[in-house]
Formats: sequence, structure tokens, C-alpha cells
Amino acid sequence: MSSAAIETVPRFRRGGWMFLLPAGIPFVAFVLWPLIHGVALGFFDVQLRETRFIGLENYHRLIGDETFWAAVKNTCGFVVLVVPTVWVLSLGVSAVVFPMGRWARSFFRFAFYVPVVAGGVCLAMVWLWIFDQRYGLLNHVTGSLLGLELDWLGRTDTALPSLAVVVISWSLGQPIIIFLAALGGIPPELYEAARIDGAGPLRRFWHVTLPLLRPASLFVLVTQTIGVFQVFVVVLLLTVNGGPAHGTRTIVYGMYETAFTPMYDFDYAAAQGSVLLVALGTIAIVQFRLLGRKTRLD
Amino acid sequence: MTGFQHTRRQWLASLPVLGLSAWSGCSRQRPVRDSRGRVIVEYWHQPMVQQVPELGDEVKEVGDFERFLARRFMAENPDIVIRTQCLNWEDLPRKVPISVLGGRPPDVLMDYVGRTSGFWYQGVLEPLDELVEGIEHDFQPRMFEASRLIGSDGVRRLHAVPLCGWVQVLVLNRAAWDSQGLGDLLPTDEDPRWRWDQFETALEAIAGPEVTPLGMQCASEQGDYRVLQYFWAFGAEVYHDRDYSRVALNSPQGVAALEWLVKAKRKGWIQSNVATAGYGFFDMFWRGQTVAIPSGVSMRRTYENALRDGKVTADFNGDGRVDMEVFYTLPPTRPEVPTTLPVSTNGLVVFRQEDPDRREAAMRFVKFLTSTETVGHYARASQMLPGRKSVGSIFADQPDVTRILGLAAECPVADMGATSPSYYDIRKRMPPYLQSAFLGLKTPAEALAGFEREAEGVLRGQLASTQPGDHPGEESAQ
Repeated sequence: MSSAAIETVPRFRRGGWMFLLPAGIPFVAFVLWPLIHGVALGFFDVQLRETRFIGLENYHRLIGDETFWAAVKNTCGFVVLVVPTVWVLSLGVSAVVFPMGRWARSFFRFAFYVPVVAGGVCLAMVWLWIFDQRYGLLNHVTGSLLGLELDWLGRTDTALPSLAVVVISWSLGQPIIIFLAALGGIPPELYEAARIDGAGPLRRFWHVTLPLLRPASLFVLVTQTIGVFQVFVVVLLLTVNGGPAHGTRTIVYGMYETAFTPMYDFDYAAAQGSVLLVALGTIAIVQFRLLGRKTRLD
Repeated sequence: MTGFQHTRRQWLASLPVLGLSAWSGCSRQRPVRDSRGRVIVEYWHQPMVQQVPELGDEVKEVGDFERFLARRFMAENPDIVIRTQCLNWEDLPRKVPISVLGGRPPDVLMDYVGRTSGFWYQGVLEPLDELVEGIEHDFQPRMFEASRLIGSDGVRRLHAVPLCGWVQVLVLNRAAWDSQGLGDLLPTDEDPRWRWDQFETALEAIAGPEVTPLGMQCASEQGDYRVLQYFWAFGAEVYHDRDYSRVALNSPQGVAALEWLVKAKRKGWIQSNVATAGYGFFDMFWRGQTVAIPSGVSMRRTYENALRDGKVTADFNGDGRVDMEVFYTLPPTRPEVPTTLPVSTNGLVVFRQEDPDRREAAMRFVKFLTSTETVGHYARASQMLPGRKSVGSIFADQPDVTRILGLAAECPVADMGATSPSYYDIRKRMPPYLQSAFLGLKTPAEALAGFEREAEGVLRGQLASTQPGDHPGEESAQ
């Protein structure tokens, strides 16, 4: 090995770091530093003129805060309603769409991805009209077919599921793209071998498709769980203050409201954020442990 | 190798740019002067004034009026430049605290004293007593007193110079009753006061599938005084005898009031989405779906603006013409209960200034804004009550308003604790409990007990860290 080649290695490493800087600097400035600052903030009492260290006081306050626990309960409700539904629906749609022709596949990919591109605010406005008690499409349909007209967002038994439907509607696009790509990566010989062994479509799906989609499923489940834990826009736009009676208040919405509406409670909001951070980290680790094992085809 | 060297050169060249960006981003202080040496004063304000007919096209949108005032001030004070910013109602409680935390608050803020008092208790406002020296007697006494708060040194000082205020009355769309031949059920122009049984009869008569007479909302704390008006009608109080260490709403009168409200919703007297309506109930008033809402006497001006914007579509006869006649009445109360009204003050505050020149400029601007002439402009434009007596009556051309304000002046002021340190924290906690009662999740007694429990927890925590001295309670406008 020549001396020039030996010298190149550290230089290349330096260069590599510099290539990372365009992404790294914003990451440190706008993600890592606020994250560290946010966690630290939870241990202080932040007033407009002064800040004093209060240790775990904010966390003690969290334990007895009924509103926070209502938000935790609702957020978990969202996760339970949305994540499995998105996983099942996106997998089902992908499995149906994948064998179709190129044009049909592109059409469905486009159709399911439109809500992702359209943005939460636009979609929330449409859903707001759909759920409207007096002029909404949903009540028009249920009224005509079932004689049932409800204030969907105004009742505690229907508000959360209604919002979950909205979140599901705009969460399907990305998992479908991922599953379609993953399905394309499964070698056709495996299906052929399974068919020769006498496996029907269901058994092929269960024993070939599903195990080989495990990495994609893991990705979908982890990103969806994190995304749904951070549900915010839909609560902000479709409800007033996470109502009725805190029925749709989520952790992130609660953080926002704590920080900005009863004025100045930034530190308490930061403490809530830290709890969310730990919870999400733990859930992600558990999901990786459970689903991250290497796939073995029997 | 050349490529790496080139990258390194680029990197080194970009360092000053990055440094400059970081410096400008992290710089906490705004420049005091502009390039022409004029002192810059930032003025943030509520979207209070939309139209001033006498100023024609010069004032067409919110913010135009403040720009007009700023131009007039700058013409007289060429050494000062005023930069105005109109904040919408949602931004007011958010953007201002963030700007203070970021070290860049406005210099002058015009807002409701229920919000500005929070800044005073945080110690970020200048005392303004020097601005009213010798003219204290010209300010409306209740407004003035409500703006004087205890400081960290235990001394009561003027934290805001009162600009104007409002008092809540019950606004009816009289055309709804008249169109059905029910006008006789209402109070008269000469005596716009209700008896309680008369009030219930009028509601019962007008209620139907298309009309739920009473408009209100408890989806958020904004406009909570509209719901509280019915609590006061039963003799309930939010705080008793200016004791802000505990809430007093959970009382037999409070429970009776909430029971009545729940019954009223069940009977179709209150719109069914009261728990989630937000400000949509105002649109319902313009559409004729509700026909009575507690509001200020500026409602007639608001109606003119809504009519101009095409929002008013109330048509009870089905003849294609708008049926709307704004009629001010005194809110009804149960027998033996005096009418208690919330009154409110908007004032001007100055944030603490490091630079003496800017402090002086900000003070001059506030003095200009609170001159008799400007207060008169503001009051006429917003149809609110002027903060200074020397403005005189601005409602001389509206005898019904003059009459109702005369009656309101005799009523005791409802104490919402608006200038107490816990005002926002407490009021924020009430709507979910009211919603629970309206939705039948809790009985009225359970809901008020729950609110009381939560409020007591907040007050206990805040009492431990609050400043010494008493806290003045309620502001008033008459």
C-alpha cells in the first residue's frame, strides 16, 4: 500500500463529515439542540423574566394531572384505532393492487398517495364539512339510509373514532407505497415453490408474503406509531381545544395548549414532551425487538 | 484531492456567512433606530377596529386604523417611527408571551387587561403612572382602578392606560319574534328589562326546529362570560368577595344555574352544539338559527360589517330579504337577584425598556393614543365605551344604547377575577366541565365539584409562588 493511499483515509473521513454538514447543521440546530433544551426545560420553572431550577416538580405535577392522563388515554386510543387499521388496510390494498397491470397499479398508488401530498390542513377542512351536523355529507348519507344524524365531533363516544378515521384516511398512502415496493422485492420462485407444494393463495400469503414483509411491516408500524403518538393537526382543526370534555385531547395537543394558552407554562409542556419522548423510544425499542428478528422461511 | 481542497475552501468561505446568520438569529435586541436615525417603536394591537365610516377608504380592514393613527403621530413626531402589527384573537395569547421569552416583545401593546395583567405579574411591564399625572380624574374611575395592580414591591401602580371598554348586554334579533307575531313577549324600547318568567316564555315561543334561541358556547374559555351570564342570573359567583384564593361557582346557586342551562339545551332553547360550537354561534346568529346572544353594544356595528360581508342571511318570512333588527336588553335574572354584568377594559401597556430613548418614545406614543381625541376615535370606531370622560357620549345618536348603558351603569359588576394572577389558568379549566354537564356525562353538581377541585389545585400551587399583596379583582367600564 502506498503512502498516498494511507493518507487518503483520514482526509476522506474529514471530507465525509463535511458532506454531512449541510444536513447535520440544521439537524443539530433545529432537532438535537431543541430536543436537549426541551428536556432540560422540564426541570425549570420558566417565567418571562427569570428561570429557576425546580427539579422533578413538573413531573410530580404530571402524576396528579387528570387532564394529562386523559390526553394519554386518548392518544393510546388513537394508536390502538389507527395503527393496526392502517397496517391491515395498507397491506390488504397492496396485496390486491400488486398483481394488477402497470397502469392500474400506478393509478391506485397515485390515488392513495394524494392525501399525503394534499396536506393535513386541506383534508381537515374537507372532513370538517363531512362531519358537520347540519350540512355534512355523512349525516346526509346516514340520515337518508339509517335515519341517523349525529353531531359526530360533538359527542364523546363518536369524536375520537371520527378523528381516527380522518387520520387513517391520510395515513394509508405511504405504507401502501412501501408495501408495494416490498412485494416487488419478493422472489417469484418462492411463490412458485409454494404453489408446487400445494399451498393456496391464503397459505402463500401467510407463509411467504407476510414473513418477507416483516422489515417493511416493522418500518410501517414504528413510523405509524410515532406519527400517531404525535397526532396534533387533526385535533387542532377539527375540535375546539380537544373537546368535548377532553374527549379528543392528545398528548401533543396538550403540550401545545399548556405552553401557549394558559400563558407561560412552557416548562410543564416540556416535561410532557419528555415523557412522550421516553414513551416513544420505549415503544420503538419494543417493536424492534419483537419484529426485528431475521426472517426465516420454514 | 483537488475536490477536497475545493470543498474546504468553500467551507472556509462559508464560515463568515454561517457566523453572520448565527449572530443575526441569536441577537436578542431589536435595533433602537432605523437608518434615518429615528427611534423605532413597535405597536401591537387587537383587531378591534375594522371600519371607521368617517375615515372612508382610509380604514377598510383591521389594522388600517392603527396605521392611520401611527401616520398622524409620526407627522407630529418626525424623530419616531411606529411599526404597527395587528394580532388576531388566537395570536394574542401566544405570540406576545413568545416574543417576551425571545427577548423581542413589542414596545407598546393594546389588549384586554385580563391578559396584560399577566405580564404585569411577571414583571415585564413599565409602570405608567407618569403618563396620567394630573389627568387621573378624567379616566373612567372603574376602568382606571382596574388597571392599577399591585407590583412586586407591594405598591399599586398603573399597569395599563385605559383606552376603552365594554359592558355585556343581551342582544336580540327582534325580527325573529316580530315575524311570528310574538313581539309582545319581549321587553319594550322604553324599558328593556326582562322578568325571568317573561324570558322563559319568549324562549319557549320562538324555539323550533329551525331556531334555538340562545346562542352561546363553552367549547373554549373565550367568551366564557356569555355562559357565566346565566350563572350570575341565578346569583352565583365565580369568586366571592374578591377572594381569589378559591372559586365560588360550586354553590347551590351555581348548581341551579347549570341545571337550568342543561334543561334549556334539552328543551331546544340553546343550540345543540353548545359544547363544541366555538365562535360558530355568531354565524348562527347571522343566519337566524339563534336569536339572542349576550354581547356588547358594539353589536350593531358588528352586524353592519357582517351584512356588508354577506354573512347575514336570517330570513324568517322566506321572502328573500334579511330579517334582522338588533335589540339591546338587560340580561334577565331570577326574581330577587340583581342584574350583574361583566364589564371589561382594553388598555395600552409598555414593555420594559432598556434604552431610555425608546422608553421615552413609547411613552410619548401611549400618551398620544390615550389623548381625548384618539380615545374618542377608538371608541367611536369600535363602538366601545371611551376610557376618558372628556370624550363625552359617543352614542348620542343611538337612544336605545344610551338607555341600556344607563341601566347597566346601575348594575353591580360581575367579578370574573380578570386581573387576578390565576385568571387564565382558572378560566381555561371550566369549559370541559360545562361540556360534561351539557353532554350528560356529569350531573351539574358533579361538574361544578370537579371544576372546583381542579381550580383549587391550581390556586394552591400558585399561592405558594405568588407575590405578596392583594390582587385587585374586577375591572369595569362605566
